[in-house]
Amino acid sequence: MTAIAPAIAPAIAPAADTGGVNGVALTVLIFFFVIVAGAGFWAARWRRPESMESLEEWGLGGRSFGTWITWFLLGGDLYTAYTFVAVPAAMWAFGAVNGFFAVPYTIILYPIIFVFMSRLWSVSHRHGYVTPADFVQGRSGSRVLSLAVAVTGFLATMPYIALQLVGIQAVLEVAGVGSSTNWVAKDLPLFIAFLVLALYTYTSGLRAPAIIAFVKDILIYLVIIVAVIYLPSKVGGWGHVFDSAKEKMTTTTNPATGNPNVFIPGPKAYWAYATLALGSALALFMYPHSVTATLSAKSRNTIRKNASILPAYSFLLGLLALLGWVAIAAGTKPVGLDGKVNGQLVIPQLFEDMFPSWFAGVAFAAIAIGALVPAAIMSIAAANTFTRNIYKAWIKPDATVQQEAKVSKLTSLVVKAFALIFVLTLDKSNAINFQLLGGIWILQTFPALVFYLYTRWFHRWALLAGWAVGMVYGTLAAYNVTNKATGAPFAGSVANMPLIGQLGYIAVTAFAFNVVVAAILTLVLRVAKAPEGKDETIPADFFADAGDPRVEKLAVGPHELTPSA
Amino acid sequence: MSTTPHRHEAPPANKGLLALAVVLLAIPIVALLLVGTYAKDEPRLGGFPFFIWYQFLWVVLCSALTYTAYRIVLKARPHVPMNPEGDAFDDDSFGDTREEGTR
Repeated sequence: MTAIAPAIAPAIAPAADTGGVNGVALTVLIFFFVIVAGAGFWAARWRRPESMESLEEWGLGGRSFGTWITWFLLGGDLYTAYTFVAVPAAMWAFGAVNGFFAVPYTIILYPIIFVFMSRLWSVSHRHGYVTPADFVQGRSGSRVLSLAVAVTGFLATMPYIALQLVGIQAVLEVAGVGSSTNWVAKDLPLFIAFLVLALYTYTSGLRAPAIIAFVKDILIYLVIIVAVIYLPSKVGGWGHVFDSAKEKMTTTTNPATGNPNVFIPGPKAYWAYATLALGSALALFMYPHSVTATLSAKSRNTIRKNASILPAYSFLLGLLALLGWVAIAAGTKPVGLDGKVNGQLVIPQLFEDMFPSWFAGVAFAAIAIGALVPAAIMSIAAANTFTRNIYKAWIKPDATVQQEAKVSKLTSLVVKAFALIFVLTLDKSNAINFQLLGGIWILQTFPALVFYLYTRWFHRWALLAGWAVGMVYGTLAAYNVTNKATGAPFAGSVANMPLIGQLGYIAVTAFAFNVVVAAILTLVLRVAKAPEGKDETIPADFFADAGDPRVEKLAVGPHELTPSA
Repeated sequence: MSTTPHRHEAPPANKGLLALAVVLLAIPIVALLLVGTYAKDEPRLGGFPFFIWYQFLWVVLCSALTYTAYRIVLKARPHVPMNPEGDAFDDDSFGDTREEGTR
């Protein structure tokens, strides 16, 4: 366990005890996992509907969640285990541009969603939309544009689910579970965790993560607050923490990109820091799982009220990010069971080194359960997207509500099985690369979704072309970011921005191309008098609230618009 | 249908108040995107570099601004229920709901 790459970990304290199973911590972890599993199955009885056999009930919890449930659900959904592992890991290894941008990102996120999410809630409530692509279909009358949005959302969500497993793996590895030699012993705990998750998601739908989110968030808040009060005092105070971080960051470079590490961004990193924050904020609510959690709210203004209380999680995330720097001061040595340095292990390792075993167990449980909530919501959202926008739109247009629910439940199992296989058989870096690509891709659906909430000025074919340009440019640009140490592609998410000439988030550059292409082609298509699609919404739909009559789906369902399907 | 265009459209709004809400929401976005204004170490606060505590401060400020915008938007465009057919706003009940204001 001493084979440390010198470029990654130049100054590390004497080895902590990483080997062996931490029995107490593991017992606490299992205890919480059993409680949560019980809660997940019980959730099927919570606010029990007459029938679970519809996407409205299984997939959106009956659209019944009030302000506080939505707060826990969205918090549990957006601030994932992977975030909790990866953000401090990035702070520990590379500094503020890679890690701390998550704070401005999750601050400006809320004013942005405040503006448009309530419109999406209203129109979805009126027309029974369950996914973003449902809305795009109804508004544009273009099945192809809707399919593009659906496929993008599906592809972007898949690696995100896989990464939740990486979060659980990190915890299990530090707790000492799984030797790297025995495949069964190594992967069995993860397999069982995901099997249980899959089963209660299947039976309880969105109600399961809504209940579990309470446990998860309370544990996370508890652990982080204790950690930020207790840990700095043990390593010499915050002043010393920042001085240690400054020393490490100003004397090391990122071996993958060749860029210097960052304590506080210099002028050359301003654009990167700002575009990472902005691009991520614009993209987050394009993910189907964010939309699912929003649409499950019971009234139009729930999401707006939440926009002013969700920043509590951003505060928490900022503190957590700083724990990455606390780990520098504490000399935490994140060495995996295979003896290699793995930055992803830094937070679990810090907890194991510094806390008594039982509290380390609580902290591990917080991270592991933190993986279950988003994994459940994401698989539900991906399943709903497949059911509505691929199965019903293209394969079986006359599917009944019950058939929709059945397909969605089965798809949620398939999606999770796929994520498990993905993580267990392929190298972890594949999941991370795809997640990086997913962030770039999902932002390319922003024009179709958000512009349509306000205007139909953009032509549907132009939006489709803009999407395609953004997808291709983003993918190529990300591919071309090569790892300077290994030569591998997809080494990062920032690249030189044309015209501006500074490093910037690739998703934002691709988005700019996307919008420009969509605008120019719209003008061209207008001149050419290309046919407009049929819009099934009326302006009043965007202001509807709970209690307003819903549109009879049989009258203007998607299949009515395209009789040739 | 026999609906007048006005009722088929969005409920009436106080444009001035809506604009005010947009300004309040834009402030934190602009402030945080101007990275050059806060990318510095000093002055420290309780050991925290300016860069760090300034952004934490914006978590609180943004929350307050967003909540203010929420209250303003409720006033700017009170909800008007739709008629039973769901194809227009119900002008008859407009007077009642305006008092409610919190839906």
